[in-house]
Amino acid sequence: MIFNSFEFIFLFLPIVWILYMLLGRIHIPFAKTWLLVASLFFYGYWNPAYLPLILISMLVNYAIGMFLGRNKAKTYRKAILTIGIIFNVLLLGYFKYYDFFVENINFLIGSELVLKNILLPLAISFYTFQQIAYLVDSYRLETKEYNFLNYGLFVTFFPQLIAGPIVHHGQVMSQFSDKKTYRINYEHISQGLLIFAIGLFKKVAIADTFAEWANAGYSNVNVLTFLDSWVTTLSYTLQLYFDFSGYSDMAIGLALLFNIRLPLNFNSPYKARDIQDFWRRWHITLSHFLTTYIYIPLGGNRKGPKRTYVNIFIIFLVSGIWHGAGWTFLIWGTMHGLASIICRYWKLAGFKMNSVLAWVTTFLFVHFAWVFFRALTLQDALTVLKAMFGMNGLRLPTEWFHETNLDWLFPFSATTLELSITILIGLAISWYAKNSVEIMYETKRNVPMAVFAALLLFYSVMQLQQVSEFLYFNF
Amino acid sequence: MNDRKFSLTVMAIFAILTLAVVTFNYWMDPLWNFSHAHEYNDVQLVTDEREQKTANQIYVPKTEDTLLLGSSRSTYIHHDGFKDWKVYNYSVANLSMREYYTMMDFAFEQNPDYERVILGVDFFKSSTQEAEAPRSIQNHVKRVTQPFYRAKNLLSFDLMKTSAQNLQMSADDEITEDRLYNREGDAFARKLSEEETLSDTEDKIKKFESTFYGKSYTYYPRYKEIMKKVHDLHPEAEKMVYTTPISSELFKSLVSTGLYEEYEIWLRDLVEVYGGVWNFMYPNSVTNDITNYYDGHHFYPEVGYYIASRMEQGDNAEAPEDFGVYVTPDTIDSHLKQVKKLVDELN
Repeated sequence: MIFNSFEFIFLFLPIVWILYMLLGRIHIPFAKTWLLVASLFFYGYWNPAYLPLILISMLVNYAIGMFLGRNKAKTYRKAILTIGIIFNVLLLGYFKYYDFFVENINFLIGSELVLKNILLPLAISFYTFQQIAYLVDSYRLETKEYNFLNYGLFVTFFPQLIAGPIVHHGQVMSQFSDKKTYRINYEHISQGLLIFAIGLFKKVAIADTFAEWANAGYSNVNVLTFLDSWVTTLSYTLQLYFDFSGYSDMAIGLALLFNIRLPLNFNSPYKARDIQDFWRRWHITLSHFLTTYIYIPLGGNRKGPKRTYVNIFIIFLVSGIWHGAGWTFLIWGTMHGLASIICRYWKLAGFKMNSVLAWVTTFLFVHFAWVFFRALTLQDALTVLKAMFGMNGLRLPTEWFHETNLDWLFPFSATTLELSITILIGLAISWYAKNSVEIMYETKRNVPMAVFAALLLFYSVMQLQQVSEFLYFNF
Repeated sequence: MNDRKFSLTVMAIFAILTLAVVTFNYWMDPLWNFSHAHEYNDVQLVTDEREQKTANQIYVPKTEDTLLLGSSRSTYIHHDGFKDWKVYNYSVANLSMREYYTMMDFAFEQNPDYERVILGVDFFKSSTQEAEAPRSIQNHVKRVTQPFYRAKNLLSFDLMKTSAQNLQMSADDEITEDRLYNREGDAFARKLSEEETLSDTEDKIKKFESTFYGKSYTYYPRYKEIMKKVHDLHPEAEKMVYTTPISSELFKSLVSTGLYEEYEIWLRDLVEVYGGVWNFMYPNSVTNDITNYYDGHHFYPEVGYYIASRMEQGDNAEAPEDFGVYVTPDTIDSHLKQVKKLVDELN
């Protein structure tokens, strides 16, 4: 089920919420069970075939985590943890990377191993990471929660199940145990409605508009000229931000309706002034996971500068691989790894850069890197980049000279003026506007704000005919 | 403003606005998902005839005894042109001959009581180019049978715009487009001046010559075989075929691009499969008058009334005497001789 769908907004959400609150008054475990069943239904709605996998993953991890948390059989604890991590990595590896691995083996040694064309189970990247963190913390004796209902909710809670935020058990387990969670809380409802409305609008009105132009361009990379390529790539840069942050806003808002506070996942990333700053603002929960469970265990910055740089590079490589099984993602991860190393070296060396220049440089780097993230093949990415540097011709729309005749090399579904204005507005919002979380916490909730939220919801709901999935469902 | 008030205000404004759009879209019903009719929704735009008519059969059950299938030309045949038969017109724009089968099958699923099926056939749709690709109504059926299809439709700005246009046209009671419907499924066309008609016809003839006739046309080898399958489907119902009358101007163009022989083959095949065909497609007093058409091949509803009357009443029809001939295997040769003579007279 998709947040921006009729079934979700008008049926699933109200039914689940009303019963949750009613059952919470009667007997809290009933409410938890109901929420768990509803979340599994939400997940299975796409394809019931995914359900056994998530249930097996949950049960295995819960059992291992419980064993580790009880601190028994000390001789075997590390081995059990290792088995648990390998189980998760193999699960993710098989479903996400098998074909990529086999393709490359075939290419390298000329073998003819058969591809399985495995359909990636939804959310597997997210729930696998969450559970690895749980296992590690159980081994460290940092988990005290043995209630399967709470654990099940931590893994499957529908607002964050499909595309994050990647929730740490420490952030939500205690909330699921709290009696207050099962009582109506108007502060949470008002905040939740506001940020959900903003997120829904971001997705339906903004991201999907840019998606049309980004998809048009990336489907015709060979004919892109200088201007076309910039329209295409800027459209994607904005689509990705509004799509993913829109999803995160909706997740935060929906969770608040159920009195659960999810962690912040975006904090105006395109305002970043260096690449480290960017990663403190973009997909924050992924950065947190990679730092806590990979970077620090590898030694972090405690083993000298060289090892620090290697560790930084490793986490960005993992980030690239996590996003997708393909060389384009590996290159994207590598680019960010190298940029982060340069950034760290630059700062330690005491170099300074004018803040505007720093911001422009950071944004442009991120923007160019997204080309690899979006392009279907390495060749496509290079073709687009060449076009962006004017190596595939510089062509101006003839409408600039003759008012009526739009003459891009291939037609976008809007005039040059519309494209330009929309992209500029999108950029302005991402650069200068308060972000949704700031609006939620800092803005007074008064009549104009209520009207604003209601209008966003109303407009978005009127566009539900064109339901589109979120980009991060693919990762 | 406290949080409780804020939440309730948001929900109230949202609910009021949403309900307003839903109510308006429901009241206007531009997708024909409901049955209510009133003076402000009696002129309706076409959004997608396949979807509209397919949904209409599911959600507004049909009890007619006659099913009419054809292309946009046949949409202008009104149900009240038939005195004794109750006709449901399931004709849609740009119908491929490959669609008769699934559309008929679907219509019978919705109403198994049809006693007869009338097929409107177009000559230009008998070419390989037009008939080769398999076509089916199934995708539309799938779409209109999705859960909450009708409810989802009501929540739409795009549909609201269509509703508003329908309201305006219904209030004005004017036919301002080439095809607008009333609530009974009858199509109407804007009446053009003679000048506009001549210009549109000229354009259409050019299009037919460059797109459908001449070198673009080769008679589809499987035409007869597929029409036989259509004939054999639901054998409990009588099948009638009629040829859609094009203007003599367009007929001349067909002949001049060397397709007269194919026209004869097409007609013979249809007669052989169906045992008889109502032929309206030849030079006669109706087709010779260009003002009976708005573009040389779409006739006005007045002509539709003649066709309906001729098929139902035969010799007693309220139609020009020379308009419409029932051709059988016994009369096909003499009929084609007569048509050839009329064609020669045209030139």
